[in-house]
Amino acid sequence: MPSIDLAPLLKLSSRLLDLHDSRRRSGESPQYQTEDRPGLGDGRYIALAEAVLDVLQRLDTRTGDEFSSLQVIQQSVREDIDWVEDIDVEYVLNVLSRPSELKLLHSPEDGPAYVIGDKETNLVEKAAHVVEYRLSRLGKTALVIASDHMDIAYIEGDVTKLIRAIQAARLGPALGFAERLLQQLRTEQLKLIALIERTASGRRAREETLAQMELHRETMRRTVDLVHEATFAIDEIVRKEVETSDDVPIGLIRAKVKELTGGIVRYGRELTRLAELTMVSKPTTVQAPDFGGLARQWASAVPPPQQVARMLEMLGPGRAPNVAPMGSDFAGIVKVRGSEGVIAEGLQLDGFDIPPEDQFTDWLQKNLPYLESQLNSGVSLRDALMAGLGHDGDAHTLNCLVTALTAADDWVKAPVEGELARELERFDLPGLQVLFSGLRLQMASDGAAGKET
Amino acid sequence: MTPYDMGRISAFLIAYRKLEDRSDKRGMRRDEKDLAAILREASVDELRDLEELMGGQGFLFVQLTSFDVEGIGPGSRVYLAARRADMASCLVDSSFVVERLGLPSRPTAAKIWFTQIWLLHLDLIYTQLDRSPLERGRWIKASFTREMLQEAVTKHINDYVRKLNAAELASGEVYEVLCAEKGTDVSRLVKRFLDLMCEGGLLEEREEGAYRQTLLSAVEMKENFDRSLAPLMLASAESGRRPTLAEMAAPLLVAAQETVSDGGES
Repeated sequence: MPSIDLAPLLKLSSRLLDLHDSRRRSGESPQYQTEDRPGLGDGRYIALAEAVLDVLQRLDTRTGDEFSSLQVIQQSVREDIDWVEDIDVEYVLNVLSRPSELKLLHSPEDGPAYVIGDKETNLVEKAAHVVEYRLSRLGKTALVIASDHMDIAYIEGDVTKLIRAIQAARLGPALGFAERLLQQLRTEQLKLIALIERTASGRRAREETLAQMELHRETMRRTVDLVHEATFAIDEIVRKEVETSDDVPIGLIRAKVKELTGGIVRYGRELTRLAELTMVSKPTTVQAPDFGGLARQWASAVPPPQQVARMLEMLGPGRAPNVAPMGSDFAGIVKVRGSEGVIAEGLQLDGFDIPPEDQFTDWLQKNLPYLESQLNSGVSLRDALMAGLGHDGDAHTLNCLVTALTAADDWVKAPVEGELARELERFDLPGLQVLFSGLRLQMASDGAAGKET
Repeated sequence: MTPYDMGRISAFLIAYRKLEDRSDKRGMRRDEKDLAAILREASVDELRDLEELMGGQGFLFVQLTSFDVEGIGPGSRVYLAARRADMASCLVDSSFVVERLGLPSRPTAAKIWFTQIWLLHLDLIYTQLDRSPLERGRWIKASFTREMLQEAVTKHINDYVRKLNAAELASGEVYEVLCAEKGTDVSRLVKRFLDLMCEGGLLEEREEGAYRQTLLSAVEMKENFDRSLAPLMLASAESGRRPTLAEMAAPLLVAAQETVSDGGES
């Protein structure tokens, strides 16, 4: 099927053509007569035009804008549309290649306005003397317009254009891009809010809309990054004091980009809100309350007056009482919220050493199971080193082990005996070579001995 | 924003319920431009203070931009003081309804007429547009003419109320008041209803005889419907049967949850 959608072009030009073709004289009745738009009413020729233009676009691209024969075009269209008749394709080509003169009022800045005739209206160009066709210049423009997606899904591309314009210090076009983006975003945002309001009132959004939602959310996340890039580009222009040829102040662009950032973030937030609502809403066709029905019900059975009065207090008309507070009434009463001072401590963690006693406590907590399990058979410094208690990467660990064996009061609950050998022993730790006397701690044999190290 | 500025803004919002920040000065009230400039420059904390001040007086401080709702120009802002459903404000006086409807000696009749016309006007701007009260954004198309409302009231009385069997009614008060209508009563009362709705800031007359809901009305309807009118509608749905507590509580609970997560940029 052809990828071209002529419907937007047709819709936006139909009313303009009506005005162009109007025979109404100035000063006559402003009423617009109901038009009788002739045609078969089956949309066949517009569908054929889409197919023909699509084929011509492909052929032009392939041949470098060479004219293509009628037969080739007919064959290509037949591949797209099986119900087509060759003669219909020829008819459509004849119509598309016919120039029609439009009368337009030209208003030059200096001098009176005058009417010009413009005959460049043919979307297809026919070769002279042979039955061959190609897209005309206007036809190419029309296809560009028809394929200019204003969908929010393509916002990243638009922001990229904005970034390039800023980077090139072309602030005039940048302002144009930013304003167009804002307008587009505003329209989309209002559409989304309307959808949210409908969903919140119990009507489920269309499935395809929901399917696109996650895609849009991702797009918005990436777009925020792009807009930040645009902000950096502005900062760069300001920092380097780049000369710009436009009269547009850079501050204005900055304000627009800031507004754009806020708009995109909000759009993303609203998308999330819609997703949440969609998960909890139940599909229903009832959404507008029947207020007329309520008036009828209340004509025969009135609810308690105090309930009606309370409801009207919230929704009915009200005005400020005669004695309403004035600005000066608040003087001295309203106190501005005091900002809480943040206590900022300039901690330099790089130079911070954990106190030795804390290091020992941590070490002991970690290695206590080993020490206690070995206490009956005796814990020696050498065995403990062999078991890995003394080398966690620094000398502090060795100190902790020695402290544990020499100051057993901190962790031993039963009487123990300590033994210090005179012989020196040698042990290699990672990055450290130690020389020490034999040191051993053991549970007291008779239980009568006191703790001793 | 100094405390005095905050007081001025609060007083303005209590008086007019709406403050606009826009470049076009047309139709703006005295001080509005200055106050709008103060609000524009206010920090987030200052706006939160103002929000709390308004909240304490029974109002929800609502800020809207062109990204929130149609009818606000790019770069413009609208600040509204919407009534809170959970806290009646003593700074909104609705007692003028009886007097302005031109029936000072018959307050009950005035209230009946007002309520009935009010419901029929809601029918025009919500029911007939297939619009939920939550659809704030459609306020810009919620318009009707005086003739349309007049016709709706007349049709309601002639096609429904007059055909009721008075003997079977639990309370014949509404029936009696509406059926006592003579010829021009509807036209006169509808005109007065519209005038007082305009005075209350809920409708605006766009052209002679053509009215539109205001943004304030749409915002209040969105914020308060579920906790005020919806339970009454539920109560009336079962042909006058009093609702159970659970039936009344359900919409209120839903409304409370939505109040937390919703409410525009308030």
